[in-house]
Amino acid sequence: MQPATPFVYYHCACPDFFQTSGRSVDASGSRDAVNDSSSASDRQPYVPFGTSIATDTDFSLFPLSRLYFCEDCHQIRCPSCVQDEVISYYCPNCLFEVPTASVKSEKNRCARNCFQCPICQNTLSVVANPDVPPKEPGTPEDETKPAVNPYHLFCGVCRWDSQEVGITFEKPTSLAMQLQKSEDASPDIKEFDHLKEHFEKFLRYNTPQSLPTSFLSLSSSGSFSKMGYNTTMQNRKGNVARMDDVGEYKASENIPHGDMEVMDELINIQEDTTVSNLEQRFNQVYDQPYDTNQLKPQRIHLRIKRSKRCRTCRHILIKPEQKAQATRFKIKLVAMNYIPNITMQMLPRKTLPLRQNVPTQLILKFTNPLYEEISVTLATPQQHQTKGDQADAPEDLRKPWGRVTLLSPHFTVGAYNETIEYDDELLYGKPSALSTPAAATWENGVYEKRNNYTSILIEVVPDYEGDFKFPLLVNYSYKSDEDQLDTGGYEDDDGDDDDDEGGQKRSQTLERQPEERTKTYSFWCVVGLGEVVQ
Amino acid sequence: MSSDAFSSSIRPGSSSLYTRSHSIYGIEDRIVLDIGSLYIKCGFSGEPRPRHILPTWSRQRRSQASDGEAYCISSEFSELYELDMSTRSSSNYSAFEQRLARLLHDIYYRLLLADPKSSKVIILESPLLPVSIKQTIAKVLFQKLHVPSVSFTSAHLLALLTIGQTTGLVVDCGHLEMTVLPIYAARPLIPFTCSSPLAGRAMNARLRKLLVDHGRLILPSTLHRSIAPRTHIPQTLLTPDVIEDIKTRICIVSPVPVSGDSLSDPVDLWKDFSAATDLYHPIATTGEGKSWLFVPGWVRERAAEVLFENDNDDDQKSVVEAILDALCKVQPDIRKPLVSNVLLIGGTAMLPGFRTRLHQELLRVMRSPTESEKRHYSSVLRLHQYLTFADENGGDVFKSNVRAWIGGSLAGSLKTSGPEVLKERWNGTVPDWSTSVLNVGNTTADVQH
Repeated sequence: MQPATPFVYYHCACPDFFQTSGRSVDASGSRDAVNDSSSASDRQPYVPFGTSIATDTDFSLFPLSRLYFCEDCHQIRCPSCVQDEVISYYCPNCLFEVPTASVKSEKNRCARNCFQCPICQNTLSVVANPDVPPKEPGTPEDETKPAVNPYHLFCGVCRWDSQEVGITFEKPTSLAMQLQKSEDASPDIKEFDHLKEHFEKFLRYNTPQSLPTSFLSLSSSGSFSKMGYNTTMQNRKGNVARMDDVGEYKASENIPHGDMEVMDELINIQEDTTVSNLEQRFNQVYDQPYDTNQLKPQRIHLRIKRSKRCRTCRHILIKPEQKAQATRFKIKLVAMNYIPNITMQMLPRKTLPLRQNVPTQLILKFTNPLYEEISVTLATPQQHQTKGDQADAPEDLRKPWGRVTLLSPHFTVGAYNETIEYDDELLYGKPSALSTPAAATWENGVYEKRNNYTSILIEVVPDYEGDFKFPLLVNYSYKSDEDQLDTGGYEDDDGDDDDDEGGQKRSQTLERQPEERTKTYSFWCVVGLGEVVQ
Repeated sequence: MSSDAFSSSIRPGSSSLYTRSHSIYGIEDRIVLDIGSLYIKCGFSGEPRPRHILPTWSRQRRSQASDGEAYCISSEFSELYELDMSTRSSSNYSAFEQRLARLLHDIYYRLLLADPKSSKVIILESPLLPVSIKQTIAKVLFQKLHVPSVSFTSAHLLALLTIGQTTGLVVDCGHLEMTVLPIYAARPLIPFTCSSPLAGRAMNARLRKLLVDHGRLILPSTLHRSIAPRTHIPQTLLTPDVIEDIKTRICIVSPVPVSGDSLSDPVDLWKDFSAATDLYHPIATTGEGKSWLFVPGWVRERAAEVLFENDNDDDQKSVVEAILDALCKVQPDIRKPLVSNVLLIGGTAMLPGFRTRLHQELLRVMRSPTESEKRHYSSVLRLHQYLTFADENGGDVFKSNVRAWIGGSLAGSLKTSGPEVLKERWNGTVPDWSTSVLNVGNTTADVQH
């Protein structure tokens, strides 16, 4: 594992999704009692674990760039608690937008000229063979010579050539059509259809309308006592076929098991460069050949553009443009535009890595995206020592991660306005009239307060070696003088049934208030500072 | 008389892969998922092959490094679930649930490109799959993805459908365990199941041990690799995905059984009686050159012996013992139809030479058993004359690791499946043979919604 770089991850407890009682943030870090009814365990409220938050696999922690913000619910939404909907399908290679009907008929693959290399899965390009002239439409077929086609596929990365597997094309366009005949002749398709006919015949004769049509449903319950099915069968006139007698079946296709030949080949190899690996084999599920020479190029898989919706209030948070080439968004409610962005800085002449038991001061910088000034309160959770009887408490609760002192737990951050972008001091590094004077006067732990950001000091003393992370509770409030009425600007839902659990429409609970209200919001985040050395 | 429910799907001779015999809007298609511990096979019903086989450890991790953040990179090779999940702590459960949720989300929105709300789902299950895993699967599907209904169907029974039969002895050689389930007249005889942990994972462990003991590492040097200096392979180099790579690409099952007595070291016998050549497996490339793993030929030929070792231990039966045990357990009158239809499914059964070796071993035990084998299996030994592998007819037209999925697709296209759990009526429990005696709904699981 690479040494961890410092980070700040935000936590989304997916509150409404998991229907925990109350708000998403539980500052005392208390846990739900673990119920005995097991499986339906709701996600527990976030408990700050400190050192052992596994940020690489814990998917309730996200960098700010990944989070969305629902204005109506006034909550952070993460990729797990938004609902996705498909907007359009497109091929990532030719960027052609595929209509829904052909998506299904072409099995989610590009129907034009896009293929991927069977060896390295990169895109193949169509190459003309200079020695073979393109076929003239008028020339007669020459029966004696095998067809030599001028076009073939070539991989620019691993230099694989489709001529090695015998695939060549007459024309450089609509390649998928030219290959379709050979694809359709695959024996497993024929055998599957043959099996379907066999069982359909049987089901037609033996399934009465009134009883459950699924003979499998009775049998899989494992109960032998449901023989009532058979007695009814015997009552039917002239139908003596029992449901368990499917009759003899003869397979229509026979492919001899090739694994002894494969084994004979494998016995004698000294290097495994010509043996396919599982990923390559799984691209060709019907065949799964061991030999790389039998791997054929596959059509490129399509991708989708998705729109994301808040699950509770059903408002659209993200809506991209439908065209494949366009990268803009029609609706873009991302958390970066609503939540303060937290970044870190080292003091001048101090460097990472942190040292164990050495108090280090560093700077946390809060940048405010809102047009109003916000006042921020920070907190770190209490660290409790374990009690011996908490047998199910995970390892990490036993070790407090270290001491974190917030030198300035309460401060304000200025509002954002567009003139900040033109501020000279940002461009040229010179102090301007708005900034506070230099480092000597760090009062109240505030290192710097300019335009729309504030940098504060924190002091950390790591207790243990390893990665150092600590949770931080950020609570901010601001006066908002907007009209609180709903959402004229967003697209309303397209009439989907509201099928999620709860569906609290928070927007309806807000009253129309033209005067100022103070809005507050709080969230947890995890600040990681990299490794701690001796 | 004919059931009109099925007439719409009957269309003779529709043998094209790219035209569909259902409506092109796919509203009648069901999504068939075979959720294994290592690979998930997914696709639509009515198709002769799964669309994708997705490794369960892929794209589960993210990394942050000084040069940026990657969001969907493969984590280490690891199983999705373990068979003793119910004894583990609840934090393991939520990790499993989160991982499964991400995998299913990936399957729907990146691979199948389908709206979860519009298609019913068929999940393949094994009889010994823990009920808690089934409940978690149902929970993720209903709560996160809002699928309309889920039906759990026996994978073994569905595999039998792919040979056109409903009676047979299905041997599923997977990764975590190997299960033998007799099925008679479309009824899985679950009380007579035999299972054993001697499956893919046991083979990985054996291969690893043999490589640590007998394999060699050749570091980059100027000499040719056959004379370059060799060292022992460090344990850390043999990560699970390296082992899996070696197993799936170059391991074979030897057609020559060696029987020594239990006292002698089998390694010497294996060294003498193996024909495979030694192999150099590239392991890493650094600035100085390529490193190779030297894999002795007999190691790659005999790593699979663990699957056939009779251990006299009731919990760790070999494949042969499990099959014979299952035959002994069932009633005498159905043994003959069962033994004439032995079907092998599962990824581990795809090792080259596995089928042949299994057939040989079975015949050997049944025709010339040892004393202890005679005692255990006396009632079934005469059946060797009837022993046939069920897919002799069709051969290898369907591969073993997807055969169960194909059966699920067949069942889905015939509109049959196991008992269906509708989303509106789901209360946290799932139908399972172990709870079918009770009424569904009387259990103590939480009521959702």
